[in-house]
Amino acid sequence: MAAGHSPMAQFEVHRLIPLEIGGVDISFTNASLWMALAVAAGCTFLVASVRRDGIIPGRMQSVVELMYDFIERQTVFNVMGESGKKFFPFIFSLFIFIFFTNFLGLIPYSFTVTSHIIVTFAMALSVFVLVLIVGFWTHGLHFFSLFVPSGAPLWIMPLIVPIEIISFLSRPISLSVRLAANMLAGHTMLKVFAGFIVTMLGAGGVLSVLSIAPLLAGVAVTALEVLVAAIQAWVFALLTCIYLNEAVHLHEH
Amino acid sequence: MVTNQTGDSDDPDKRHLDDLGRRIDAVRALRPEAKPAQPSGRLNVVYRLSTEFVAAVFVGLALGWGFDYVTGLKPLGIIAFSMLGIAAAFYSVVRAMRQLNAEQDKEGI
Repeated sequence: MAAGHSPMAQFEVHRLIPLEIGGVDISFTNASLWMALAVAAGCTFLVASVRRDGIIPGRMQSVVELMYDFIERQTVFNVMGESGKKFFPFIFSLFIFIFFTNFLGLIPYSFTVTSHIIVTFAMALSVFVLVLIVGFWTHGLHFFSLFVPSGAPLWIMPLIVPIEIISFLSRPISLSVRLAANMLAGHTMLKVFAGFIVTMLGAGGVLSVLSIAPLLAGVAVTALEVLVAAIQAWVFALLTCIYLNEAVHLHEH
Repeated sequence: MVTNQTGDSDDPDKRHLDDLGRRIDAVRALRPEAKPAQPSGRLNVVYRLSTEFVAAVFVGLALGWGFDYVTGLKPLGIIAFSMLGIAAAFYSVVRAMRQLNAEQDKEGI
């Protein structure tokens, strides 16, 4: 059983409820299931924990308040100042969704939605489109001055403007690749170490005794993955703030 | 009777709470606001910079390919835009570095 299991098998998408409308496959897959579970878990966690809204918070309420504060003050306000207030709901929802998909993915036999680049790319693209909308909404065509760095000599412009445009277009890609690659690499590593344990135990003799090594490595990687799951959710939120901040304030710092 | 701006000075719970608030404020005034450490480890920085780099090169190549496809100037677009892409990659990495440094300065690390 273990021999036939590739470390990549955990990332396969299966149809749970096959659906097709107008020739478009919109089946409810295991990815959809875990996304729905992440939304449900996130909402339950946030709502249930602050349901009793004590003035002196309990344990769960403290956790929620810390998360809220971490995103609201330490991240959104820190980067965007007052103008970040209207984007806070979006950024916090994004953070909670990624946070919960990452953490649910750590449960054995679950599915890590964020390891699929199309999911993270959809989120990054929505951030990109929001940046464009906000930029053109607040500055009109003056938004294009984002591609013209202030203080650069005029003769260098034909070179620097395309570079700025490429750098701007690469944002949704780097944003999505970063999250998906982190998740993919971490979970593959976990599965590989787990596979080593089984193979070495099965080999017998000295190897069975040595199988403690991949076990310890697996435990360490699991701990690292918990850290990565939280950090990557935060990095996604932070970079969203940085990009939105540029769209709102252009070059002023 | 003690004057209280928020009223309700008769309510013992309220007075208790105001007292607690005052004591918390007093303690807060004694020390600078503690900020939670931001998780910006080395590995995180490596990931951030490398994806920034790869993405810019990739976009340069994609634009060059699209340019060739539209204009028919087969190798020229890919050559020119991949060079621009690499330049943009270095540029993005430098900018990301600057942002990271600015964050650290803000944190006072």
